[in-house]
Amino acid sequence: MTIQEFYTEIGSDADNILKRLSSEGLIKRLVKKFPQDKSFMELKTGLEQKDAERAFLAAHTLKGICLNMEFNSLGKACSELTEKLRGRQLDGTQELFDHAEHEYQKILQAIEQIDS
Amino acid sequence: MKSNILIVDDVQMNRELLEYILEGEYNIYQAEDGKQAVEMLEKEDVLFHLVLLDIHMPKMDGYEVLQYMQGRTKFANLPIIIISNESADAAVLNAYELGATDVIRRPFSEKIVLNRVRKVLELSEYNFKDFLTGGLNWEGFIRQAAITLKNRDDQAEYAMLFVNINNLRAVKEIFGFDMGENLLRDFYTILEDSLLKPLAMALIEQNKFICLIKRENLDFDVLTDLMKRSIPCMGIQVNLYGTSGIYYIDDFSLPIASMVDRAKLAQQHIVDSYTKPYNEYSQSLKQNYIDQAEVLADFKQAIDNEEFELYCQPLISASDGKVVSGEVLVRWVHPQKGMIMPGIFLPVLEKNGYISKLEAYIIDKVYDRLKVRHKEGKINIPLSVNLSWMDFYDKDLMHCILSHMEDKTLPKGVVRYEITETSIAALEQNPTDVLEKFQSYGSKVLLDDFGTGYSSYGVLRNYNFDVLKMDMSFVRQIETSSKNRSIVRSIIDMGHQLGMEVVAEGVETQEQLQFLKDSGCDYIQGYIFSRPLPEKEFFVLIEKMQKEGKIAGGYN
Repeated sequence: MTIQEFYTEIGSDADNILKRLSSEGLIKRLVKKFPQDKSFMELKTGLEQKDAERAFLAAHTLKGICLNMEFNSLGKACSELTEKLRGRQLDGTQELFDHAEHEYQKILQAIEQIDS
Repeated sequence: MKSNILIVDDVQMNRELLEYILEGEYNIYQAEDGKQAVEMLEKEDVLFHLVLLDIHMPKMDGYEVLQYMQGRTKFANLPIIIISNESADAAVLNAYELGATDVIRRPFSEKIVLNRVRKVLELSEYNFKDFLTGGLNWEGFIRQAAITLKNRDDQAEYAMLFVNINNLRAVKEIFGFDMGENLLRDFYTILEDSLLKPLAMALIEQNKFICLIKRENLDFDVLTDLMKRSIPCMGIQVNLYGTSGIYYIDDFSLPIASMVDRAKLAQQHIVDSYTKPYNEYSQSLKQNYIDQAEVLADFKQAIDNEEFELYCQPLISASDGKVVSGEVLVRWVHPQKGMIMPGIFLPVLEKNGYISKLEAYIIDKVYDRLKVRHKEGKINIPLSVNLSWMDFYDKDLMHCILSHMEDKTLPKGVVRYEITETSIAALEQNPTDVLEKFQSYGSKVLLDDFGTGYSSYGVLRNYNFDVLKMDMSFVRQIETSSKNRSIVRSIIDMGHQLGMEVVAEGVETQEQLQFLKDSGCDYIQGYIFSRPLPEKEFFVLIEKMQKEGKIAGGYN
């Protein structure tokens, strides 16, 4: 799978990120590092432990990564979570998180298929 | 030199992306959270020029870092760019209010980041930059020198240099302001590329260079050469004359500014810039140091307590070696600081308008001494007193001089006056022909330091002097330059043709003396015969010479 195919697969357009970041190699390298990033696990743990502060920070961080990496669907989910958690309220976050997790898994699966 | 950028973000991917964008132009350092960033900044192993700061981080977040930095004056000029996910204006404004220089929002494009980083660095470096040389300014020097010394090589010794370009004003007058600036820029480059290998350097106060070097790179021949530097400029060679103070850094806990002060102090104590255009700082200099404020504060008391002492240097006839006259000089013997050279206090007094008070004191003293000797039947020879340009604006002083001249106790003309070209502007504004008045009382008027100014000939055309004192720089090069010898001969001839007697100042060697004698120079002043003597010693010398029949034109 090429980078272009990867982005199509996750519902984004590779052209957008290629306009901002000139190197396909760099994008590929960064995308492949995404599974190692701890932000999603942090978010998950934060919510499980009802630690709104921790969850907010993680959601916020993940949103930043998504914005830059053009992971739009996950980004949107994180953005909504961030706003929910900004007032450190956990009500109604589970549904948003489930959606985010779905998008997250989709990205991880697509990453595995990127040609090395 | 590449700027050093610190990227602070807890997400490795984010750091990697920024690093990728910036590493081509900058040295990149990374911190994983605010706490680590602050530690790295405080440690000062590296001089950071810019911080890229994420807001949401564990341990210490971006806002906390901004707050911390606001409280540290040493980071006042360190720009911080916030990288933010926040689309809300309030969050961005908050960052600006906490002192962020700029905010970049995600998603960002590579080109935008690079351009904004470049722009922020460029703007922030204005705080440290000197626009004439393109190098550092005072703040930049302090910053760079501090970091260099903090990370110093323990095996090495360091020195601070303070270089004053002495003739810059004259150069600017002659060649124009722009040319003066060009020469400074050239000199900066010469110094930068010299064997002194500066670790940090800056142009300050228009004509001074400060320079941090390793002591092992300080070669006195190199330094001496730099202090008499000929620089090509518009098809001619222009000489820049400098003097340099050196402080061997023995106390690294001193602020950089104090190290510079010590080097400057050494520079100000240079006695003879011709033979040794540099001077090393020593503890005694510090003890004897008197700053401008102290000169002014202590001056009145110094007059009341008679702390100013007269010195005299004899002038001898070139043809027969007889003593013919003397020049009066002054030293300040300060009760705490000891002997203070005129080079230190005269400029301060001149700048602040006190010089004429000192002049009046000296003139009164000279008349006083001569009258006492006259009364005792002892021999006197004419003594000359130096006048500053300011004196011609001082009615009290002019009155003092003229009333002494009107007093007929002493023979006419026993006190003479030396002026330099710098007084001419004052004379031109003064319609009362002071010089002619002096001469009408039989007091000779001497033109001092002839040939160093830039209107020497005009001065000779417009005023009548009795004696021409050729500047010592001509005498000093008699042995080494045949051109100079021609000039010396011409000055002597011209002086004679204009009806003046000619004095050569600063004569030190037999060769110089012989040449001057052969060229018809009338009088000699310099170490070859005698240094300036305390007045008592001077009069002892006069009496001894009298016994040996070696006084010409004395008065009893």
